[in-house]
Amino acid sequence: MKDKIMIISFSILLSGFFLVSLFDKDVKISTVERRTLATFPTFSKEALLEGTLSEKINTYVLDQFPLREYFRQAKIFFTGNLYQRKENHGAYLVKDNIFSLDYKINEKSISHFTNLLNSVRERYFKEKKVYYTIIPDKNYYAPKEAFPQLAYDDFYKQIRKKLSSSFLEIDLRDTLNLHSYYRTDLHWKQETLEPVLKTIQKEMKLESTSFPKNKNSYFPFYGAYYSKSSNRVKPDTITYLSSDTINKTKVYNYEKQVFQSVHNPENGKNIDSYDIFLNGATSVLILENEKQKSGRELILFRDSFGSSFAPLLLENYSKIILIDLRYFSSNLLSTIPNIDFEKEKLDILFLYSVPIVNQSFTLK
Amino acid sequence: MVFSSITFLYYFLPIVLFFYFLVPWKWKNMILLLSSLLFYFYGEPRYCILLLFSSIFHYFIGKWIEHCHQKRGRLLLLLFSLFINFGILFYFKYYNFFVQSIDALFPQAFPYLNITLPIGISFFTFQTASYVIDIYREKVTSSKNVFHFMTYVSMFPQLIAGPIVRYETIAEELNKRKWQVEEISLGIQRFVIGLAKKVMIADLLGEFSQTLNDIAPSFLGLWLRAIADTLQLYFDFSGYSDMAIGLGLLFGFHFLENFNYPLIAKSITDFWRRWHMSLSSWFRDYLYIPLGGNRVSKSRYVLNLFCVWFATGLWHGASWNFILWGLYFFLFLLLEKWFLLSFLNKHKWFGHFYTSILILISFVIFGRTDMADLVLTIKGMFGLDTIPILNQEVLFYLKEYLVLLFLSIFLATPLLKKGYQKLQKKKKWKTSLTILEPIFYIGLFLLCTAFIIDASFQPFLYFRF
Repeated sequence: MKDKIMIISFSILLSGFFLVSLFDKDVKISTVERRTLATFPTFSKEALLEGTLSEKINTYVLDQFPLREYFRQAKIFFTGNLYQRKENHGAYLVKDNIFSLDYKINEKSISHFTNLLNSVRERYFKEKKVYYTIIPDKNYYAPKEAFPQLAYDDFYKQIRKKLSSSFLEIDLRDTLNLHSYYRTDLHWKQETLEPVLKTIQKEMKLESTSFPKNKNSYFPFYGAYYSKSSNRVKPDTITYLSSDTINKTKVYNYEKQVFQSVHNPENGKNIDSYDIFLNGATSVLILENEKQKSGRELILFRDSFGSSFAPLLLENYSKIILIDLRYFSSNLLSTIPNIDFEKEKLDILFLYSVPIVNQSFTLK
Repeated sequence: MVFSSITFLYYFLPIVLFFYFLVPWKWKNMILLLSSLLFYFYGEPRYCILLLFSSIFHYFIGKWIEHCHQKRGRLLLLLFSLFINFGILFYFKYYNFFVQSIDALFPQAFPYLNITLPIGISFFTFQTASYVIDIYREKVTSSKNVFHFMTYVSMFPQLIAGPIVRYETIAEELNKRKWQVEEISLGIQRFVIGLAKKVMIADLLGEFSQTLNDIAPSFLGLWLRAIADTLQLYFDFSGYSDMAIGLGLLFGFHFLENFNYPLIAKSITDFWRRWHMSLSSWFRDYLYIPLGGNRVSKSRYVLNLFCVWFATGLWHGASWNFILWGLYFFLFLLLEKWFLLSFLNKHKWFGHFYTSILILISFVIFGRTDMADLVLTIKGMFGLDTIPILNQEVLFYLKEYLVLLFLSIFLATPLLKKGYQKLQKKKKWKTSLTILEPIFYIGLFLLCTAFIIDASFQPFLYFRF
């Protein structure tokens, strides 16, 4: 009897999943994993003989398997509870906060980063005051005993040492805390950045301005680390701030040659909801604030952290040019329209986060 | 194709089983042959022709040996077949290693070739070699049907990672086999257990080992890595063998056992009676005994043993560390034979300790093709290096993998099996187990699916041999 039950149940299980997967429609995007899923590969004789076709079929069936997300959750639940593991695919869970287990200093990457900054300064801003700030990642604020962490003091010292002495450092480490970051993502929250804004304004000798008060929100935000931890934590809420200045600012997207708004809630539905801020990763953006008549401009070299921070500086500038050196080569800076490196009322700020500095080889 | 893939579990296997049980008896071997060729072609399209050649060649050479009545002629045919068989193995697996090894003495004497290793070559060449040798020895009669023989050589359950199934083991079943509900059910259970060993234990131990390799070295880290590597190899390879045996039962074949809890061995001699039994018995029957075994002079016996363990090491890979690994066992087997074994049999706890340490070190040798790295690791493990005893990283990862580590040590012993067998004998549990067992195996299979979906693709470690 037992053997018959065993055979019948396995037959049903195998044939059931086989048939369901045959008739199930393919899913294009996994929002939780923030990636497009594989589609059935096109057949070619070369691919068949080289074995790449079978590899692609394997990826396809893995990606399109029925109840895929439930299976992933079951695995994480099992390893979390039976194996008592808090780490999954490099993401580490402490209570309801997910951290990335990156704790090794990449000295070559730091050198690449500082060499690039030194050369940009030497080439374009030799006579200017140039500021830089390295945004600590949220591991800096994690409980020290929880998991191995980067030697931050050494990390910051290495950057300072390798950068030209004419770079002025703005240290943000005391302006942030664990609540300044999303639980499921690496980024900081815009609504918590008032101390950061005040510090930067003070260091760059800018006028202290009021912090935007109007809060808008988007839910659910599945951060970059969410998929690695599956449903063990709740998704985040993105809060984006608005003010008269932010609402009226025109954003020129140099890549697409179009004007956009500062915040675009529609982008919440994108694979990365963080695209709400300045429409996500873009090589060059020009923010024009017609309310500001001083004519003061800022060139902000930045990574994705800059997308949520730059709008907060709008009260201080007529124009902010955001340059992402991951997507725009430093050799081409002079091709950006209406950019004037000699302009008197011009500030320069390099705003980069620890993870990018520690993996900086994409910066050109 | 690997067993621990969605493609195999939910597409290939159901389709093959459906057609296999649908067609009448006379077509079953053909279904098995075609599905095995597809299985091999899917993972190794270019070398499918090599597999076909090897099957057909050995089928006909086997016939010729059988029908040749001259002793000398039979011997020549056998030598010719072994030359072709091991020539193929040498060309694909050992040629570049040979060139590299003699390069130091005779630089550029031979050119390097751009060759990739055909999957499973070490297994199917040894199977076909045993077939012709057994015909030569008149231990078996040659196969009467070329398709049946091709089915034997290419049978997908054991094609790419063993166990090494001898023709004599399944010769009868190739012509006629019975299916019993109990055996099919047992096959399912065995397959699921093997799959769980691979994806729920071995792959995670592999992750642990890789992590330990990536962090700053420490005394504790090196020993933990040796433990993780040993357990990973055991669960990976024995898991594969379980799956092969389970699949064999589904198709009506009875393959011999390949592992018998080797990590509880109380001597190295005992270990090799329990680890990869199909390989050790192959070398015993086709190399050690023909060389004279132990019924020879002391010096000849040492030479015989040396040859066997040199070959065993070399079989595992074309690299000096594998040869060193084989000779390491040669040394300890010799010592045990001469005087250690009787002491170890009297002091069992010491025997377990001694064997465990030696096995751990053996897999350190096994896992490192870079000799400088090997020396550094061994020095570190015995406190001869300046590395710290432990560090924050190793403690962190030990905490992360501690439960898995203890669980895998427990499962490497027969304690659970014995406990379960006791439970099965109790009457009051009989009815409950009728329901609970299928639920357990279905649940375990689904959990394995979950692990496969969540993990990145990981080929079986024994593919390279």
